[in-house]
Amino acid sequence: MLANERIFEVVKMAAAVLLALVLTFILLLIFSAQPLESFSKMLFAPLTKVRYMGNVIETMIPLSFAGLATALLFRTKLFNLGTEGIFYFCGVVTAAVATQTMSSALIHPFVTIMISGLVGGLIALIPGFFKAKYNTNELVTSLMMNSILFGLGLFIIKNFMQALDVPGVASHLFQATAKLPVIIPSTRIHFGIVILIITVVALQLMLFHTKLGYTIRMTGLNKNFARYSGMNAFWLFLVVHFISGFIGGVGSSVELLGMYNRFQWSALPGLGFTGALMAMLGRNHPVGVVAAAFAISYLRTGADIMARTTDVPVEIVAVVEAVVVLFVSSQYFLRKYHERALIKKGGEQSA
Amino acid sequence: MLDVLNIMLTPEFGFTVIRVVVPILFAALAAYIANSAGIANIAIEGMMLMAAFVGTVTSAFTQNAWIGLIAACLAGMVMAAILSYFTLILKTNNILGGIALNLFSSSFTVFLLFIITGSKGTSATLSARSLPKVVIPILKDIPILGRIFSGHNVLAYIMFAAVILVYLMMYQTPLGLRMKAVGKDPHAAESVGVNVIRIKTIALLLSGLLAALGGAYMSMGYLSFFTQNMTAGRGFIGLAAEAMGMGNVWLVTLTAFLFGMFDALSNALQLFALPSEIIQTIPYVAVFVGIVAYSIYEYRRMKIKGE
Repeated sequence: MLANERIFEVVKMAAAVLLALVLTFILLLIFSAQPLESFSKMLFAPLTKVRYMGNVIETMIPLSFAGLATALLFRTKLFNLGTEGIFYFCGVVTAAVATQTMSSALIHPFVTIMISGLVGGLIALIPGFFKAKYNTNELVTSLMMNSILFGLGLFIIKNFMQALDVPGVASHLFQATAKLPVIIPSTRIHFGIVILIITVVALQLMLFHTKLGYTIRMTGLNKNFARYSGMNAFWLFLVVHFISGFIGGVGSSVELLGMYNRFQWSALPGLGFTGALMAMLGRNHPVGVVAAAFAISYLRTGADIMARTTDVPVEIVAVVEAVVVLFVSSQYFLRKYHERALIKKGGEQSA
Repeated sequence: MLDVLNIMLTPEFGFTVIRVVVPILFAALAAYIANSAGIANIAIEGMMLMAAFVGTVTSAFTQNAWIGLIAACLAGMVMAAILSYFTLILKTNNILGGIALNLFSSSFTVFLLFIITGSKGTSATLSARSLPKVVIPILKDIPILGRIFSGHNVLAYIMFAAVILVYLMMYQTPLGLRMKAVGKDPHAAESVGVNVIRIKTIALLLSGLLAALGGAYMSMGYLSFFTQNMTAGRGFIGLAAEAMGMGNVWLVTLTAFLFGMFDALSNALQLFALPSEIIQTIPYVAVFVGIVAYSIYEYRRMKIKGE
């Protein structure tokens, strides 16, 4: 029975992707002069070069962190979209630490990532506290905080860290000791992938092998569970928010230290919101989130290569993402056929 | 400080408040209708953005601002129809569906913008039409009131009418009554023969229409072209205003005006030598403080009730 459900999930996911691709192709037929070429570029180009596959993994790392941070909140039925602002502000924090002089290339990134994570966790506690104590709508507070954190971060960069020899928003160069090393030659895949794997394993253990994880999972199913289990809902919400913010802060730091030489985000990077999509596609499951991030990164890399060589802008990939997410997160999509098949099967068995 | 107060007491400040409150109040009304029928419509932001884009581009192609406005309304309602299909028929969680639609709008508008204009930033190169400003005959000659209330974009007056129409619909018509019934308890409503899905769909479509009016105002009134993500969270500010309005359309309107005032204040303060990055966060800080203060108030009230 369980296996049956799982197969149905896979079929549903495949059907959603297929529908999204058909829709994309229709859009390309309308808007592109070379629809077939664009379409095949988008779907297959990442497979053609090692460097492109490298791009997929590099894109996957920050998306996964953002997805993991959001998934934990969604799992606890907390609709907080604050990862976006945390990613931005912790980027500023990362820049502040990474531009300091430190002697060791082992300690520098570690310290930077930890401080960034800690700041992220503390920021997340703000909407977390008001939700836990007063049941304040965390969706609204977290969205407002995104805009506030963006203004604050931009202010700090421009007034205290702006590199004067570079046009636009830019911090000073990070110290060489702070950078995360590239670990796979001829790509830019950096040590962040290891940190990601550690994070996934830790989350997996926490969710499925600790009392805290059990409470989180059960609260997601029934919001009164925390109270009955003896775990104080107040503390549960605080802990979940802190861990989520911490993961967001770490993700932001890893992305900057792995991929950039200085902080140059002049707008919200959009990674936090995409994290919400990753969480939905991955069913709020750590491994699922990374798988979803891989799939979306693959599509985005393909779309990026397509945009460089054809007349189609990269934003078309958002159509695929939105359609897939809408169908995958709907409970009743294809459910009718599934149930009909089950009834038929049940009838055969009883006959 | 005194300078700021001086600015706030001018009729021009009052005029600016109305100018900036239009999209916020339309969004708040959109949230109000959806919420009355029991749906948290967080896709308002995306509906506004899509409408803003479709409105100005259609007005550029047809050279008629009114056709642009109609197209914008249709765009908002199509978005609402998609959301209703997924949340009501396919049972997608409405918050998740809303997030997906918002992300879709913000990228899809840029996609179309690039296809049409070759730019990913603005549609300023298109010669689009804006909706007309209206000078009200007698009102314009009354000293202070005239300078505050006359000469606004036509959508500002439609906004005032919409507040009254929404009030009348919710309190004086069977449809409004059914929406509230469905919002309070869908099972009870169903048991007396109300078609819950149909009522919710109507509520969402009306919500989409109101959001679209707010979006159209952004690109055909507030500005005369579309820019990437130009709604900048106004849909969410509207949601916050609705949440603090306690299900009362007049309170919702009042809260929206309060947020509009902070928005206008942040505009006015840009004249002073203050860091603009910080000044621009004022409306968001105001909403944050407002919604927290409201929830503390509610918390205390429930506690007293409980005892």
